[in-house]
Amino acid sequence: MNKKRKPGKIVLILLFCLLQIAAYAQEKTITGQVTSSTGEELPGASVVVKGTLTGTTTDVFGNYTLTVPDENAVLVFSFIGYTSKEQPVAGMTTINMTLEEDVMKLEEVVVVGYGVSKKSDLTGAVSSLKEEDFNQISAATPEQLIQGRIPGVQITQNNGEPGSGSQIRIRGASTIRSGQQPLYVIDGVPLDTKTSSPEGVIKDSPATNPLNFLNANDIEAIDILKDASATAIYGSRGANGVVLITTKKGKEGVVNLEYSTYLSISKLPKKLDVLTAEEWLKVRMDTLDYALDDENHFGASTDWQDEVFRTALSHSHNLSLSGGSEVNTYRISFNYLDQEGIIKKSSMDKYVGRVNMTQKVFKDVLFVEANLTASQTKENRVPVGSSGFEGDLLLNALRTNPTWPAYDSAGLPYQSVTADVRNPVAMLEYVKDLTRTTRVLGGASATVKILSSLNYKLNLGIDYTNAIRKNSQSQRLSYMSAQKGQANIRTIELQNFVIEHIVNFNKTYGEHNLGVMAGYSYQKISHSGFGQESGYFTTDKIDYVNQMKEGDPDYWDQYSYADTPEELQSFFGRINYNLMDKYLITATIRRDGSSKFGSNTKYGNFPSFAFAWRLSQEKLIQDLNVFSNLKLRIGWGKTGNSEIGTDNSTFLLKPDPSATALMNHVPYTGFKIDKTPQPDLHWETTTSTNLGIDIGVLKGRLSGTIDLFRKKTTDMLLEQPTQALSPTGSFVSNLDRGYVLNDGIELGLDAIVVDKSNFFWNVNFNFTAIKNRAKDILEHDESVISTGKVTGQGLTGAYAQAYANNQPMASFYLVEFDSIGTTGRFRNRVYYVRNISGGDSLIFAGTALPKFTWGLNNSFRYKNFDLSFFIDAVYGNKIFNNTALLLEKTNLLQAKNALKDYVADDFPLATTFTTRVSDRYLEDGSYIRLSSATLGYNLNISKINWIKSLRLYVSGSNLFVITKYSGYDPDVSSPADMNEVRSLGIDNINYPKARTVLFGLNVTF
Amino acid sequence: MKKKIIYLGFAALFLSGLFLYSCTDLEETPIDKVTSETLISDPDLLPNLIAPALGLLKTYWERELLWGIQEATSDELCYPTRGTDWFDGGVWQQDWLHTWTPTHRDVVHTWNQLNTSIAAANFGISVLGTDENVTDEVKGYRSMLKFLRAYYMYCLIDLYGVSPFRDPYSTDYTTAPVFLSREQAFYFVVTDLKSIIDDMPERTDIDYAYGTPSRDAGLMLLAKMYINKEVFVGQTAWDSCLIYLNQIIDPGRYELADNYFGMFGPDNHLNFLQPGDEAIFVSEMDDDRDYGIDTRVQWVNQTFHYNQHLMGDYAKPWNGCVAPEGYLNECWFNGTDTATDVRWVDSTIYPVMAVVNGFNYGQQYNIYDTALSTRDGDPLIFSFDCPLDGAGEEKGVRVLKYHPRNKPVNVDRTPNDYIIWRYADALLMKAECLAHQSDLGGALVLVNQLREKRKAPALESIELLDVLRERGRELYWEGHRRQDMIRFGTFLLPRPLTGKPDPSPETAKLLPIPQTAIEAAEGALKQNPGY
Repeated sequence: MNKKRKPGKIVLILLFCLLQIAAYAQEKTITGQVTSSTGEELPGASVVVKGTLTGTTTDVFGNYTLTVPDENAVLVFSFIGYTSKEQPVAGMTTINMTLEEDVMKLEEVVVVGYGVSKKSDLTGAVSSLKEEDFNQISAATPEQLIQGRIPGVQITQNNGEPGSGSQIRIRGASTIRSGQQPLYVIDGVPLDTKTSSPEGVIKDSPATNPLNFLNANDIEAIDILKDASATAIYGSRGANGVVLITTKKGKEGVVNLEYSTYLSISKLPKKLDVLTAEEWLKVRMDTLDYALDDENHFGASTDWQDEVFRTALSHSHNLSLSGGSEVNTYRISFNYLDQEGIIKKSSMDKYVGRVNMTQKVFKDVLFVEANLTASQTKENRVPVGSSGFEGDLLLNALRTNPTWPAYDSAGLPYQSVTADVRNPVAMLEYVKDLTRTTRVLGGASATVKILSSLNYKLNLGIDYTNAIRKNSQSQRLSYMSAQKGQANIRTIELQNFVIEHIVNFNKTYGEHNLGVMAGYSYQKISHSGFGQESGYFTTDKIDYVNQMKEGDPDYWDQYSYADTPEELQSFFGRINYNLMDKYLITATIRRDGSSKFGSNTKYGNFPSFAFAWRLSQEKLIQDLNVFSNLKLRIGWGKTGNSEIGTDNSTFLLKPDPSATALMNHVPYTGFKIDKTPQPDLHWETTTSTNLGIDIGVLKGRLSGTIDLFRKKTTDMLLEQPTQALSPTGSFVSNLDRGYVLNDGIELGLDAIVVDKSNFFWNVNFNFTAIKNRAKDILEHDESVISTGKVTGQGLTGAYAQAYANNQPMASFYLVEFDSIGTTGRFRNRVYYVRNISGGDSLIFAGTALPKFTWGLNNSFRYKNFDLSFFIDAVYGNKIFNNTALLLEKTNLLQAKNALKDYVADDFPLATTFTTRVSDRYLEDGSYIRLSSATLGYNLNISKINWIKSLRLYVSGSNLFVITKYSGYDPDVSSPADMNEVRSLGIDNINYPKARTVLFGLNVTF
Repeated sequence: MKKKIIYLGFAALFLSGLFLYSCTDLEETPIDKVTSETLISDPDLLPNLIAPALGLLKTYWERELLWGIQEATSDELCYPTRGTDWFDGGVWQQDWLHTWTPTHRDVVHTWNQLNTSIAAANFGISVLGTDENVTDEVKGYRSMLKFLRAYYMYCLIDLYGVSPFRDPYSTDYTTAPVFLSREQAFYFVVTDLKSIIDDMPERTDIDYAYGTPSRDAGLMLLAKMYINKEVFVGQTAWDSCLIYLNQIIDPGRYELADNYFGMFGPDNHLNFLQPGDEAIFVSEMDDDRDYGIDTRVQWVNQTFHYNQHLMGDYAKPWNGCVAPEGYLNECWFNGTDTATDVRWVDSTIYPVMAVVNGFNYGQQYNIYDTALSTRDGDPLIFSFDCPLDGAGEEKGVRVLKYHPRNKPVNVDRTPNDYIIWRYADALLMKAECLAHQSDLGGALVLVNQLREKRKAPALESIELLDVLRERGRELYWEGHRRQDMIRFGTFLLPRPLTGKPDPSPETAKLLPIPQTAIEAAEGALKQNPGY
């Protein structure tokens, strides 16, 4: 480790310096305005007294006020994308400055793997989003900031629970197996994607978000590496794309104290249309001949959805202090979020603190950078998620008999004596489920300038997570009364350490520029955990989790585990060659070794090659005077996906209680072979080719990017049955046949429609279409790999999706709904399929992957107002509405509630009816959504010189959605994987997404 | 410049230090598992070597494994579909109708479990090696492991007509095993058993551990092989079968139980070596722990109605399997006197549990003598008839053989040791062999010896099928029926009273081989005819 001063100390020193300057100088105050050559005011431009630490930034109108030490001072004006200018004070008190746009305005810097690149020098498909491009929504975790914004990146939120995660697919679904998350790299530290969410009571409740520990306000940019020529530098982990997150740093010469806050109000956008008590009674009388005084008529009229949903209030406070000098910068931030969920009792509290500093030592020879994020989230979760026959909170809120009272005369949740009917209000009241996650991510790097063209960088990162989940279900729940309550405590501990050595060389020889990067990286990831369970408690007056030992010892259960640590050792390099700024060549190679791989295949090589031609630099094109930018890009590369478990090298034995034999009443625990050696197990290989064009016309006011790509994935990892008489039942291995193809087109357009001094209109559009199919993955075209678990009564083992030759990934595979049949029995053709002898034919009925998606953003600025709204759309995907299946009209037979749509259909109801998986529940998942809209106002505070800017805004998210989908929301993905085969597009009782209105305030001092 | 060189020197030193620290050979270092070397080096762990293969035996007596396959495909047990319950993808109806497919849940599950069990036996066999110069203790454990392998192979050829075999001393699991035909497996098992049978412990040995396979279990397995030889190989072997049966029967180590249901009680291990001990081979259970079979081996929940809480501990049984009408007519209403036959109904437990041992029919009550109703409020009267599909919740006669404790330790568990083979079975097998050898008189004596003990009127004459009927009365719901019916040729017959009007095809005598296994074997394994 490098010795370095503590960031806090540096801040103190810096503040002290500033005070000194303020106190002793012969002060003179300068004011002025900074504008562009077109007359546009430039907010945030930096004005610094040359050679000092004194400086400021302009407010939103480009105005500044600065106190200079004396008449000899020289002011330096600078702004990103503009050429800096100097101006001696020389007796003036007002200095207005016009900055010229830098010819290289497009020289936006983009983060690429192990370095940065000028955007104009990029040869691969990389999308970059800066803070101002982010979605303006509350409680945002990083991926929600970019949902819908980037061509080729589809983000589907798992659900609307506070802290919920998302499914992110970069350029389509390239594999069958579950591991499809991209690699996340935060300030150079590659994260471990293992979930940090201990299992809860509802086993299938989706894991919470691994990126939840970040404060969205700390993020400066998110760069997404999409094609292999960009991701191959991440080798065996690059196949699903790479998301690089860069956090904010202090700026030279400017001290900013920022405070931002918001208050948001969230509601359920729509309720599901189940029968009211009156309708329910009528339907049961009319169609089922039940009498009005039927034993299932309890006399009340309860809207159970109203009983569990609420209007949720959330608020967030964010404070940051940043600044810097020529030799160092710092930024400190603190964020507090208190988010309520729209289901009662669900909430999340989050505290995130972050410190970031940089320091130059020995006159620019050494550059040290360090950052530390510490966060704690506390989630109060409610039992929502696809579950067994008895159902979760939400399913019961939808199907519980509407004539039941919510509360009994004593004001307690009304509970029936039969244990299988659960009152959702009782579940809210008597289930406690708290997860506390503590995470610390630290990074430090030191860069030594060895020669002017050569430097060496040492990068260290450490990431530690500890999550503890405490869960108790009171004995007051009717279904817990026999067992007198139950409690669980489970923990997970994750550790991730990375060290990297990187050497960079960059030199220009006349028209040639050569950049060479070479590096070594070592990463070690460890997981462990333990947990315990207890039951049969005496009292629930003490929370069970605080009296585990007082439960019945017969019911105690506990476990602990520690996975074999995973080690990854890699050598990588990149060569950039730039000829005359016209021809750009990039070649990368990574040699990745992983302890997870089989002993014969410890190392894999991942090369890439890309070429770009900046046509706009050619005289011929320049003479046309049309294109401000025209670049052709072509790239090819190989990447890997190594989302496989550990322990593939040797025979491993483990005492296994299920292999316990009794001999003379003494239990002997048997040893079982836990893993057999897999000497040839390795990564999946994705070979991708990309053809792209970047166009800028009308002096860059209209710019666009089009990319065509083909991704071919081979050696797919799949859980396969072992050869008979192996000690283990199945094993993950590489498929020795077949491949998955993704062909796609991506389009990004950016247009500045109006650019007047007081009116500005920017339109941003993206479009993605991907065609995806599996080829020859199975020996027989008739065979399928099934997934997409469907739950429901009598549906153990049922599924709705399959992978098969020549079909898109995550295709729905089920029987066609025909009719119920006239005799009341379902004859051979189907409503409720009886696939007893395999006679019913299943069909492929579409896929959960959309045909295309698009996003459209409009931002306007008129004087002090700004307005932006963002629409995103998904077209051509299907959703299996498992929730509807669970609310089928057969529920009426069991005195449960059902969806009106299903009750109203023509099919008669007979007591023998059962629900079956069919395309009756398959729905179009297309939607167009007004994802967010923001109206802001920047207060004119130029008279208050201690405030730099003050902005008020109101913003709405998920404001409306146009869809045919009948569930809560078409942006949904329930966990329904089977045998670790990826399932998508199943809606099985999900925490619904909220509609949110947010009032915010940002102020900078 | 000099300064720069010093800097560079420091940097290089620093760098090399870090490289040394971080370079790795990528070997995995497990921290919550051990390698097999560690295990062999400790002699105290010998019983733990047999434990995986023996422990798996406990798992077979559940509705979704061997027990379920042997019973639910036969005429004496049926899982009717009741509204939405017990449809389960059609598996139960497929069992009854003999229309299973290569992806049938329990067909796949049972195949996999038997394969796993053989692999578990192989694991122990490989660790114990082939050396003959070892202690009797090692020989004993080795013979038990080989017996267990033979037993699982016997189950495989009985159900699927084929058994995989893998050299236990080879550890390359990437190639397919050898698949032995019924005939090949038959001769392998018989030969292997004979070579180790004298290494197996006698039940009366001082250090014999109850619950492990004894020499008598080895003899019984040989008898089972030979009695089924006609089915397995196409040749009869009644003589060979009698040789091994007589080695069990003649020494007089067993006698028929005075208390029929006492054999199956919650503490039935106490019967060991006591008068009336019939148990030749048992699978030991206890209710102290979850052995991974909680809710799986489950005699109460799988049959009784939702509202039958017995002594209150059973919150909500699952209202599942019944004894079908055709079987009741065939075995009980013809062929015995249900008024006296102790195997029909035994009400010892009724005052405590409000259910009887044996067959439960008619109006059901709780322990307070209140008549129970269905969930719809109709009287809960178990009927003799029961349709296969769309059965009302009160349909069908419920059967209890292994009754729970008066106060269950855990309702998901069963303390009763499961009796795989017992003395009455051996006697009836002997009667069967004699009948085949036209010694009907000898067969009648054996059958009547049993009927006398069970308080059933003596038969005056006997034909071969009467032995099957007696097996249906004596061994019902004990996991023998499918094999018995195939051997006696009645398996494929229509069962018109319970929704099976047509005979099954000849090919239904074998289960299909799971599709997953065929695909995994890459051509080495052929599907059985008819699938």
